[in-house]
Amino acid sequence: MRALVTAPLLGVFTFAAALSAQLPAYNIPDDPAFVFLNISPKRIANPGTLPALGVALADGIDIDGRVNAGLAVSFLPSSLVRYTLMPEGYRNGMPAFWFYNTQISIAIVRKSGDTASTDLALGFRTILFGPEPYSDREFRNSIAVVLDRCLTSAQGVDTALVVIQRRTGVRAAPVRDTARPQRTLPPNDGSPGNQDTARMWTVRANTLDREAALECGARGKSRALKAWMKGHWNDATLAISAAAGSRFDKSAVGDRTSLGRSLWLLGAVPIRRSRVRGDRTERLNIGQLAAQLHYMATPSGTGGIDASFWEGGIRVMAGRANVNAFAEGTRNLKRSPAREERNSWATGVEYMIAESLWLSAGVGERYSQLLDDHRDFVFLNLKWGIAREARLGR
Amino acid sequence: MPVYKMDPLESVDVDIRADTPSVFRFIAQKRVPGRDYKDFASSADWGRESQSRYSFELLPPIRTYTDLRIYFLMDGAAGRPTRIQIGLSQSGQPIGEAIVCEGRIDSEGSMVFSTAEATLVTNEATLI
Repeated sequence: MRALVTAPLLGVFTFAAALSAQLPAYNIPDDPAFVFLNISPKRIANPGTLPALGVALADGIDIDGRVNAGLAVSFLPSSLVRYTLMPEGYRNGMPAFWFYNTQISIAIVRKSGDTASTDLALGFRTILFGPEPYSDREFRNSIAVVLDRCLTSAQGVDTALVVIQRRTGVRAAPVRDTARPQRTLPPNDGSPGNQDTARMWTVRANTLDREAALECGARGKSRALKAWMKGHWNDATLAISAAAGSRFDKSAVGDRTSLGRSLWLLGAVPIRRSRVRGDRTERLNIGQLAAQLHYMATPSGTGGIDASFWEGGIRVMAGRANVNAFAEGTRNLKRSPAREERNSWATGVEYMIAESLWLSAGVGERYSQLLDDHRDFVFLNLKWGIAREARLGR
Repeated sequence: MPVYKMDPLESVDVDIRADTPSVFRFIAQKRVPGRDYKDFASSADWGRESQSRYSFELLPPIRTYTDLRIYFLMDGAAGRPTRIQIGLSQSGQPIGEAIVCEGRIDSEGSMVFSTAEATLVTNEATLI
């Protein structure tokens, strides 16, 4: 290995941020239409948090320095169409599961400059198989227990009802009035009188307190999800994303040229072993083996050169749900006149520092387009919501 | 609050059904005129297993202006809608429109708390 970059930590962090985009992500894009037009969600006002319909303005400057303005739309068809899908029919790997986990993305970007062309891309992402807690009966049962407990604990408490009660007592000596300090209250000669008021929470029979139930539910769900993820973080995964786009020169509908199409495939299998302890067989999660494939077909450009390519990568990791060591490699599978063979590899460790937020550090080698050579590098960066996190249910 | 007219001498079948891949549990209460609400059915009666459908009955005689209240706590995947239908029937015949409780699990995964309420009206003269 050639000399490693030994810059100070901050320098490495900044450098790594630029490199991270070129590392194999091992996560297919949720909104492939945005990726296809190079308007990643980072440059959009985050429409990718799976609302019923995420709409955002896609403003930014592209690689040629032109100002882009447009619209990005992302939605889950299953959330827009009213249909019945009972929990028993929602099983991992079944067609109902595919439809429920399909996301559509549409992006329109108008480029500034002489051409004033408009790019349109359509894409979809489907999870065919993946770690989805709500498709697992065991998890549903554990949540049901939480819900029952929270409904019971929220009974008989009505925090909306506040009652002021008068308290009686005897003031044997003069005391300063706490409400008006300049005033002194005289003794009342041993006869009881109304001295004070007290604020009390009263219980109304058989009502359920919404806030208490929800708070209890959030706590219980968090625990149940953590326990489930411990045993399922490396479950088998199969997901597909695809996008296709067109360019409308001078923004005229009749003047359309294809921008090509793109396909991403992600598959992962768990690495596990069984251990017999007493009369029980335990399943031990060791790691995961993941493979990613990306195909990009572009229309023949100048001189009819085919710039289409396949890119594949493999990643193996071992560890636990929140910390692991990994090694990954990527290779350009088809050499074309327009594209050099490119390899890259990386190895390191990842640690989940917060929900869905991972700190990744390691070393690797990648192809540098600028230097037309392979370069070693050190990286330390943050990753948000990478694949081994439960992508579907939280 | 929906009002359902019914025969006081027939039992009322309450059918609760999930329309979305969510988990839900409930506590059902009833109140007869002049009394407080009392629990009369709960998903816990079905054990610890999550189910998508629960059915129970309200036994006769049914006093007029009996109030029915069902508290639901629903959970599901983040950002997803949850929907429950509550249908009332007598002798297998539905009484009026089903009550629909809807909500959406927010992006943080917070659960949904919902209440379904109905008033049952009968011709009490038939009870005499």
